[in-house]
Formats: sequence, structure tokens, C-alpha cells
Amino acid sequence: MNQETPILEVDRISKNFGGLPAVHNLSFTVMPAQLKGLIGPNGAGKTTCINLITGALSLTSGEVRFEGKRITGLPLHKTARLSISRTFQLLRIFQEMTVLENVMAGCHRWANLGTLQAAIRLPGARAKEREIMEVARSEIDFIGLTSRAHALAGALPVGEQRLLEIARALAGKPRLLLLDEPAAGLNDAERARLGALLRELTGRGLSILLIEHNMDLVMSISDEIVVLNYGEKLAEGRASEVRNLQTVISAYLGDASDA
Amino acid sequence: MCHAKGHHQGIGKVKRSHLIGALIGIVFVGTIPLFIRDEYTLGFLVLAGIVSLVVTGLNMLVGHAGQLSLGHGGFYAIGAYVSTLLTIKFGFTPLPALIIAAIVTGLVALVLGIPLLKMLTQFHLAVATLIFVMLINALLIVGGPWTGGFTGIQGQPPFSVGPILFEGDVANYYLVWGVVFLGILFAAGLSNSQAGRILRAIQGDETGAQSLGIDVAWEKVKVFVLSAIYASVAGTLLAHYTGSVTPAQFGVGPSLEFMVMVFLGGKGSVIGGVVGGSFIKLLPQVTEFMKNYRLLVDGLILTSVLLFVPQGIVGLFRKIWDRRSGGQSPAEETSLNGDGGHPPVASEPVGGQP
Repeated sequence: MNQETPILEVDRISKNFGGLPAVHNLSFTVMPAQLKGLIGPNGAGKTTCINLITGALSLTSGEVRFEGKRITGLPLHKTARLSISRTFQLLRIFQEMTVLENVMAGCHRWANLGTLQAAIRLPGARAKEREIMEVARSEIDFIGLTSRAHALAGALPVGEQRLLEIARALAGKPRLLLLDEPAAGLNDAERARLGALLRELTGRGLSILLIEHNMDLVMSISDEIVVLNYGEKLAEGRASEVRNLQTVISAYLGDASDA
Repeated sequence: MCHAKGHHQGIGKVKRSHLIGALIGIVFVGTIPLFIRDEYTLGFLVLAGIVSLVVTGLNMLVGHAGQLSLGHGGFYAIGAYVSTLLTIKFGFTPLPALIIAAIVTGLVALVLGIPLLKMLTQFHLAVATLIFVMLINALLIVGGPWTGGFTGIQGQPPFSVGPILFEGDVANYYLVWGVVFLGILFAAGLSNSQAGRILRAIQGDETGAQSLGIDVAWEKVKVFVLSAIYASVAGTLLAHYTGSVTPAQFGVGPSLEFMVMVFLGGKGSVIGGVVGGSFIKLLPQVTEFMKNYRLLVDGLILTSVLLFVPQGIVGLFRKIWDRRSGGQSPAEETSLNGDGGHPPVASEPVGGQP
């Protein structure tokens, strides 16, 4: 992939909920292997923005392009098929499945195992199942849930459920990962470890869009940061630049202490 | 190290206790006709097998994808009536009639399922499928010479495969339970594969499943069609075993009863369909006096099961087994090879959604 072409282009997107703009005329890009932070006060439209990119919500206007191709209007499972993975602020793990099964389900995007092929073990199905198992195992190891692999997902503490959701998203071998507050519910040590893992992922070429309330984390690991307020872009730039902008401080950083 | 070990026990290999259980089950079911000679009882065991087949299929839909259908009597009816018409009016032999009936049923389920499963939540789906079975029943009653009205059609030839004729109770017993065995084998294969995981993911969280690239609506349609085909095959076997079909056999009552059997046997358990189906079919034979209170008894049983054993009879036994064998290891081993979507973890309340 050409380094100059953004992997994700958000082009003047807007979303109204009953006439109220949740996101207004927002544009930004994510470059290959870039970690972009998306911050803003509560209700600024961050989660809405991820929902618009992934097709979980439909746009009122504007366009989203992934690897140069227009993906506006594609539903969630189709954007996922294009290798965009995401996590959710309000967790959406499969509670009655084990950690390992959750992550194995995450392999669906590339596994392409048909129902009948899988059920009656047609040629190739066994090898594919083994591959799914191996990928799931390695993502669980990577995220640090190895000892929990056979626990029911619903029985994990919230912090580990967040990590599980990330492992499940990674199992799809995405090229773009959208994380919605992955550090909520993690303690300091876990948060620091998550930051290092995310940097390791970008080091391997993965592009990440990170919504995060914890300012220390987002400022320390993001290549660039977009600041949202009332659904509009307030600022964009490197952490050091954004941090000192007066508009950002007054709109947002004043609230950072309770984040 | 122990991690790597767990890994290799994983896929494709069946846990030994499950294999032993399956062998005992096969020997038990296979030798019953040697001990039970009276045709009346054997006849009920054949009917129990036919119903178990419907419920095994329905359980894939209910237990794995989490969708409710109160209309599987309709697919059961299509299987019975299509093969009846093909054999009696068009001179087909039963085996091709069974296959054609299954294809017809699958197509009906597809046409019905695409709009319903794409648009409706599970509860609306339950109502829509209930209306479907009422509609099918009405068609059977007003169908004139094609369906025989209230009295149905009699005189179906016994089932046959080439020169092998399945006539009488013993032959039909082995035929039906052989098909049930194949049905369980397929359901187990589905349950323990990526296909089963995808369905359980849908049951767990539809949006979460979509975010993994799973086409939720289409996956639901596929399992709906599969479960309809189970019902269709059962309907064909019924028609050729009893040599008689009437609309009352396929109405709302039987459809609701299938659902009762799913929950009673064990939602999401591969053998739950057989356990629930056989239990309800054979219970009235054991307690003859309750026959007039069938619906009342079913209602009481379902209510008690939902209240006290939400995982059904299979779930109850599994829980007892886990308590006895103690420790955590069963959860570890059965997580991938278990016959259901609910690996037992001793500390976890069954069926509870936090």
C-alpha cells in the first residue's frame, strides 16, 4: 500500500438524530500504520463517528472511503468483511461462550467456512478449523488472557472482557481497527500494557482509530489526535500541539481530571 | 505445557466420555426391539423417533441461533403431504419422494425465512411462524381432492430404499432411529464447528456478531431452512409409517409441543431433541390417565422446566455429572467438544444473563 494513500478517509460526514446534529461536517484521515486518537467531551459524537464509519449507523451526508473505495452505506457486517474490525464502548461479547470460542468466532471474516462444509467436515474444513484455533490462541496469548481461555466470557471482570473484545477483533486479521474506549475498566498496569500492545500492532502495520477518555494513554501513544466537540472538529494534530491549544483546553481538558 | 495439551484435545477429537455415552445410547436404542415385542409399545417408540427428529432440527434453530419457531408443524406437514401426493398420485417411490419433499420444504422455508428473519425479532418470528402453520393447516383442510380435507389421505406405501421394504414396526423402528442418528450426527458436527460458533455468537449478541463480518440474517435463514428440512423428512417418514395423514397431526398443537420438547430436553444440546421428544411422546403411555389433560400437562412441564431447570433434562444431568466428578476440568475439556453451546462451569448459574 502506498504510504501516501490514507487507509481511511472521513469526508465531511454529518449525522442528525431527529434534527439534532450529533456529528457535523467532520473530516479526517487515518494513514497506514498510524494510531489516531479521537477525543472529546462526553456527547461529542465520538462513538457516533465509529458507528458511521462501520455502517452501524447510516450517514445523513458525507462520504467514508476505505483504501480509496467508497464504503458509505455498507452495513456493519460488510464493512467488517472489508477488514475493518471494531470494539464497542458497551461491550458486545458472547457471554455464554468461552473466551476461546469468542475469539474463534472472530476468525469468521477470513475463514470463509460454509455451514455444510463445517458441519459435515468436508475436505479442508478440518485444516481450516485448526488454523482458526491457532490464530485464536495466538491472539489470546497476545492480549494476555491465556489462563482464561476456557472461562465463560460472561464470567470475566469487565477489564478482561474489554481485552477479549480486542482479541476477538484482531482474530479477524483487520487492516483497520476501531477501538471505542478500550481502557475503560482497566487498572493502571493493564492500561500501560494495552498502550504498549497497541503500539506493537501499529508497528506491524495495523492502522488504529482510538477513542479514549484516559488522556495519559491517548496522549502518550497516538501519532495524531482529532478533538471533537459538539460533533465538530475542534483541532487536529500531534499530542504536543493539541494539548496546548486554548480552544481544546477550555472545551475539554478542563474535564479531563474526572476521566 | 498444560496449555499446549488443551490445545491438542481441541478440535475434531471427541471427548472419551461423550464417545462412551454415544455408544451406550446406540446399543440401548438398537437393542430395544429385542426386548419389547408388543407392537403397540414399539409403535409409540417409532413415533417418538419421528418427533425427536423434528425437535433435533428445531433445536439447531432455537438452541444455537436463538430464534423461536412455533410453526414447524407446517414443514412437518409439507414433508408428509408432498411425499403422499408424489407416491399416491404420481407413482414415485418413497425415497425420491422424501428428497423432493425435503427440497420443496427447504424452498418454502427459504421464501418464508428471508423476509421474516431479516426483519423480525425472535418474538415476532414466533408469531409469524404460528400464523404460517395455521395457514398451512387451513390449506390442508380446504385442499379438496389434493389433501383430502379433514379426513386427510390414506394408503401411503411403506417406505422403501430400492428393494429394501420397511414394513411393520421393527423395520420402521430401525429406519426412523437410523435417520435420527444421522440427524444427531449432523447437528453435532454443526454444533462443534465454526458454523455452530457463528450461530451461538448470533444468539449471544447480534451486533457483536455483525462486527465480525457475520451476515446475521442470512445465517439465521440457513439454519431455519435446515431445521425445516429435518421436519420435512420426519413428516415423510410419518406418512409412510402410519399410511395416513390428517391435518390435525400437523396443526398448532403439535407445533407448540415441538417447542416444549426443545426446552424440556435441553435448549442447545444435540441430544436434547431426542430426550425431550421421547419424554413427552412416551409420558402419556406411562401415565395413561393424563391423556385428556395433555395440554395442561405440557404447560405444567414447560413452566416447571423454565422455572427450575432452564437447561432442560440434559442440562440437569450434565450439572449433576459435573458436581459428582467435581473440579474445573470438565469445563476445560468440553468447551469445544461439548454437544451444546453451554460448557459447564460449576461456579456459573445456568441460563443466567448478568
